[in-house]
Amino acid sequence: MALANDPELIIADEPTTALDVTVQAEVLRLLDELRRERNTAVLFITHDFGVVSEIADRVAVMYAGRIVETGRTEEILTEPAHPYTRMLIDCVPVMGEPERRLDAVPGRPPAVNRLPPGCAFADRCPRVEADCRSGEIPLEEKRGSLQARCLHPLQPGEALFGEVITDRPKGRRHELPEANASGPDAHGPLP
Amino acid sequence: MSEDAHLIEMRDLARTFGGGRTVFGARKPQLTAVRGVSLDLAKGETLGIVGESGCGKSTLARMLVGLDRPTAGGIRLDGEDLSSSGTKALARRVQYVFQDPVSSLNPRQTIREILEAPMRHLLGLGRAEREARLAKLIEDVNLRPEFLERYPHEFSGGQAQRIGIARALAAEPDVVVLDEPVSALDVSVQAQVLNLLDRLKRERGLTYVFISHDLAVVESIATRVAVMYFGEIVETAPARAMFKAPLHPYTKLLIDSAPVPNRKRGTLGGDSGELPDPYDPPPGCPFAARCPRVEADCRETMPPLETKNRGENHRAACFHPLTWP
Repeated sequence: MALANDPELIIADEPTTALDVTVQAEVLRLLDELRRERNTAVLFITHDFGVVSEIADRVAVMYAGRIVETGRTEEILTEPAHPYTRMLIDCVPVMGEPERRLDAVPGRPPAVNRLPPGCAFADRCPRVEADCRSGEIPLEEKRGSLQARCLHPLQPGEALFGEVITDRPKGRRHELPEANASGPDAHGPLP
Repeated sequence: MSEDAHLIEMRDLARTFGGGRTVFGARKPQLTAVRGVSLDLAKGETLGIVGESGCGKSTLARMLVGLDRPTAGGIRLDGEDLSSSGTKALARRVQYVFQDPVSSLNPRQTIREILEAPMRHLLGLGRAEREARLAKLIEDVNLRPEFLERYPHEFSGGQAQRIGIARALAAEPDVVVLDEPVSALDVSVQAQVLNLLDRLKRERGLTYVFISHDLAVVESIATRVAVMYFGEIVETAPARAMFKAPLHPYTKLLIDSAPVPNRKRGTLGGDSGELPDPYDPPPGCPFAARCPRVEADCRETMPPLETKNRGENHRAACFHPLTWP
């Protein structure tokens, strides 16, 4: 139905999230073919990094209403500059890596009608410093194709907590401090 | 693994819907959702059940917890036949966590009422004991005590799912059947719930049956995996062995179809095949129509689920299993 008007842009909002993997693969293939044949642009909204790497040329990561990082797919997925992107990637189980630790992102997104000054992710960020909490943080070029809205971005190969990782730790996953115990709005219902 | 180590034994379990005749004597269509599943569940393991929608995963799970009765076959819990002992005894030992966390909680009850119900009806605990258990329970699932007086609509999906898990644990079961417990959750919350499940299993010595269509999630949590297709188990193996080298072509198709970050498929996979018509099942292997390795004998008889050259625990229902170097 979206193709009936021969559009120049297709916006696909989580089109495969509720589907089985086999059907999902089929839909992605179809969308990719159409894009090539008709030279259509596709804006693909998803939370699945596997799907992202399959279909996207470029990725924009959103947090609390703003784009916090954007860049070419491979660069974002392997060496993101923004800590939020890193944490989002780390909390998803990946096929073929059953030993991978799942590090849940602690805390919750801020209420969008009460955004804090500075970086909206500051309260949940392990790299937060005093300057993160004030002023407007612009989306700036960091390295390669990456643009990030962050004052203390990650360098390639740098772990979230400062140390340089050679190999991601293996073994039992652990639980991060629990989400709902922090934050001023933890009591209320979610939007 | 000795025979008596099995907590649950399912034998030739089948469930059909429909059938019979209308008042005018015309046959009503009959559908077989689960056709002859035999599966054992060992204490302390996490059995992942994967498969596409409509393959009978949820029907199997519902029969396990007594929400549905098998048309044929039996389920034995610790050697005791469940069809005779009634749902209450079963509910005491086996509990269920639903897919949709918010709609599976009664909107007119507070969390306290929801969590107390199993303690009162299944365990028969008094007020003081319930109070003590509630405090422990709510803490175990990382929620705060004041949440007990609230109603389900006040919670986010992740919180509601933790309440669903707490409700399942309130009856102190041995087995928890989780039907797509994280599918409806946001990715960051999904990790929290998976880690919570992992910790609860270790602390309480639980056994899980974990149903999901997300293979990455199953791989990370399950110790053993059973793949279902069209109401039958087509392959079962320890999780690592299965994901490394599946025997059944269907398992391989599933694994290859799952998108993996940083893996760009040269040719995007995915076949256009669909499940056979459940009202008119084919005589042979139901996957034959989609299978790249199909041969004539596949279309005649259904291959039995049996061990191949991969040890006692790796079984597949396939005449021409995949070979791996």
